[in-house]
This record gives sequence, C-alpha cells and structure tokens, in this order.
Amino acid sequence: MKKWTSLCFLCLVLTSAPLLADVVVIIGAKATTSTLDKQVLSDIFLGKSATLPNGEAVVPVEQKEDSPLREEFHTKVTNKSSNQLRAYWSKQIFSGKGKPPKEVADSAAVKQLVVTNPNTIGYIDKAAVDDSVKVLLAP
Amino acid sequence: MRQTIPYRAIIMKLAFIAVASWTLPVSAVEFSGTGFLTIAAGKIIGGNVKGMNETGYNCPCQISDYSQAAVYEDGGVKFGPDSKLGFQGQATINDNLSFTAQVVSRGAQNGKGDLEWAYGSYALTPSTTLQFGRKRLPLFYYSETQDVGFSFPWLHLPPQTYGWEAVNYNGMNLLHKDHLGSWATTLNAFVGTELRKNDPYQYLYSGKHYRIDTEWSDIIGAEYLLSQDWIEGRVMYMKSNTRNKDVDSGNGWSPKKRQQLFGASLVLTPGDWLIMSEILLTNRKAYGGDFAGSFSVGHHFDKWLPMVTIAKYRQMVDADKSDPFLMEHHTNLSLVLRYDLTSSSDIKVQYDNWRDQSAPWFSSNYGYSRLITVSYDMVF
Repeated sequence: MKKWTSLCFLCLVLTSAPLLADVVVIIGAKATTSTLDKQVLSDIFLGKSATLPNGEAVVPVEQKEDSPLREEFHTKVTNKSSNQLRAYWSKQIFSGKGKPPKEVADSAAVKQLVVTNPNTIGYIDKAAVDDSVKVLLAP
Repeated sequence: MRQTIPYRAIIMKLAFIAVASWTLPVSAVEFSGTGFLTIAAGKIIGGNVKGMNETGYNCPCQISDYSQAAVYEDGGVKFGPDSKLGFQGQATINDNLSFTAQVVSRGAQNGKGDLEWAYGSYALTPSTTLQFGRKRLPLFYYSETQDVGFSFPWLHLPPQTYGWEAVNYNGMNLLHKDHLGSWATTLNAFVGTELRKNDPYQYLYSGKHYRIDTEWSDIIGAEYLLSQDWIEGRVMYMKSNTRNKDVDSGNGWSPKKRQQLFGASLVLTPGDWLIMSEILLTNRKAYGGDFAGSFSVGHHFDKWLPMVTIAKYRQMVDADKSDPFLMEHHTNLSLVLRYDLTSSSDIKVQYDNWRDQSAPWFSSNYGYSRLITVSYDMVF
C-alpha cells in the first residue's frame, strides 16, 4: 500500500512539474544590462517600449502560446491572462500600433537567440540557466 | 497665419520609398495574414416608436453603429447589424518597411467588402514610425479596432460615443513611443482628409437609401497615451473642415465648416476590475457642438467578465446655425457578459436599454428601445 502511495505521489509530482517551473527573465551574458524591474519588462513585452533604460534597442522573445512558462511569466509580469493578452495584441495589430514579439518553441530556443543576439531578452525555466546568460529578474 | 502642409513633397518621397521597395525580389518580401470574425444575432424586445419611421427603418429599432448605419429593426432575430468578417494582410519588405491592407465585410452593408486600411509603415527608429495611406481616425480608445469584436469587452461599442460620420482618413501619421518618468507614452500625430461617398451614416437622418457624401478635409490632430501598471490614460485633439453633398437632390457641396474635437479616456485594471471612462467634446460650426461620454465597470471572474456601461450623447444646437427641432440626446444602459472560450475567441450577451431625451424629430423616429444581442467573436 505504501509503495502505491509513493508511486502515486511521484506521478503527481511529475505530471505537475511544468506548472511548478520557476520562470526567470534572461539576457546574454555579455550584455551591459544586469537587472530590469517588472514595469520595464511589462512595457517591453507589451510593445510599449522598444528600448532598455540605457537607451539601447531591445528585442523581446516569447515562448509558444500553450507554454506554461508563458502563462506564468504574463501572470507575474504583465498581469494578463492568455485571452487578455490576445485581445491586447488584437488591438495593437489591427490598429497598426504594434505587433507581438517573435515566438520560439522552448527555453532552449530562447537561450540560443538571447546568447547570439545582443539585447534580445526572453524568459526561461530557472533550471535552464547557465553561464551563457544573465538573469535580469526572477518575478 | 495658416500654414500649408507640403503634402506633394511628402507624398513624392513616400512614393519613392514604395517604388524602391517594389523593385526588391519577391522572395525577399515576407507575407503574413490575420483576420477577425463576429457572428451576432439580436432582437428588439421593446420600444415606443411603432412601424416604419421617416427614414425607412421598421421600429421599434435601435442603432448599434452610426458609422455603418447598423440598425436592429423590429420583426424577429437580426444577424446583419453587428456581424462582420475582416482580413488583414501584411507584406514585410525589411525590418523597417511594411505594407498592410485590411478588408472588412459587414452584415450592415449586406456583406459588401470595404477597404478600411491600406497603409505603409516605415520605422525611422526603433521607437518612431511613419505611416502613410488609409487608416482609422483614432477618435476614441477603441476607434481603430471598432470592427474587431474580440478586442473589446462589449458586443458592440457604445453608439453614444463611437458614432460619427467619418471614421477613416487618407494621409499620414507619426507614431512615437517613449517614457515620461516611469510612464510609457505613445504619441500619434496625424494629418489627412476623408471623402466618404454615399455615407451610410447619413441614411439614419435622410433616408435608408438617400445618398449624401461627407467630406472631412484638412484633418490635423494627435492622441497621447500614458500607461503605468494598471492605469492607462489618453487624450486626443483634432480639427478639420467638414461639408456634405446632397447627391440625390442634385445640390452641390455645402460650405465648409470648421470643427474641433477633444477626447479623453481612462482605463483602470486594478486586480480583476475593469473600469473605463471616455468623453468627447466638440465645437462644430455647422450646428454647435456635442458631448459624448461613457462609464463602465466590470470584474473578471476567471473566464467570465460581467460589465455595466452607462453612455450618453447630447447634441448642442445653436438656434442660429441649425434647427433645435433636430437636437439629439440619449442615454444607454448596457449590461454585457463575456465568456472567454479560448485564447482567441469569446461569446457575449448584451442587453441595451436606450432612453431618449431628444427633440421631436429624433424622438419620434427612433425613441427609446430595448435590445438583446448575442455574439461569437474570434481572431485568427
């Protein structure tokens, strides 16, 4: 009985693992910017700002719409649900005032873009952080 | 002294950019497309005007969109007034230059497709963009996406505020994003002109099939948006000349009359709350002026958003300029319930209770009415 209970607990932990991922916002290790607050990040990811506080151009990268990391990032940083985010971008796209950031498949793809493109920022699972990137914020 | 805008020189430069971009190989151009759909059904459930009114609408009836002459008439469920389908295509030439066009087919116009947007966009810097071509006039917070039901909480926008005879313009605008302290700002300055032939808006006053052209010329204006966290504010000012041509009577253009429009919007989203307010004040030499305003409060409960809106329109008619008998004044109470089906679709149900306080002409032709509507919105 105890074995079954442990097995069930393990299954529960494994299946809920993506929901428990810690999201962090990253930039390439060589970038001059080392930290950004939540408001600045929200403005960048909502297309309200195209520059970093130091005046340099910045390019945000999103993860795919069904990614749990994306949901966690936007809940914590832009304060928008997936539907609210889509409605927001519909307003921007169909009014010619902006377009959403480029989307990539997963944390590995975000990391690759961030490392190879200066001042590109994205969010990844905390567990995927290594020496090639700097963490700007752990919301 | 009045300054003349060098339209010709600017247009020549923009044409050069466009021609230069067309000489690129097609393989270098990236094409993308997107669109939106609203399927809506509504039924008039009460009102005091009975039978055919002077302008040919079967009443009790209620206007849902002045600019498209979208009217719910008596006699069963109507699908036309708020249903629409739009496609938007974009050709991206390079990181700085793109061309966008949007065609919208509306039930209110029997499915006829209208080219609502056709513009080029040239990024001068990462924060500054010059756009040129045909666009929407940004009179209110949702004016530019008034066809995209998914982008706003109502089933249809409050007619008391979003109801004008011209909604587009041909010209150019400069869009600049910046910061003012910790506030994100957007400045959108625009100039242009609009000639709307056989303007549907005029059907509401002159007759369902009566042809009147509307012109707004020498349009110049700007909107300024500020946002921080859950607070977003917006002010807008524009002025232009306006005149009409009564095509069916054979009369020529009326004399040009000056108009000034000032608008302000406030959108607050603390926690799960949604609080919105908009006002518009005008000074119109043709008849006097207008006041239009709305106030909305809603609350998100997971995927549900119930919201209540009170909207008011009051025309101010100077007796020496126009006939006070035509003065229009009404208030609308709307109750809306939105449910998010997916991240790109929703369903809504809306109840509108339109109370009329107009002078005799509008009061006897439209009066008060109650309307219930349901819709499905999506973007793709």
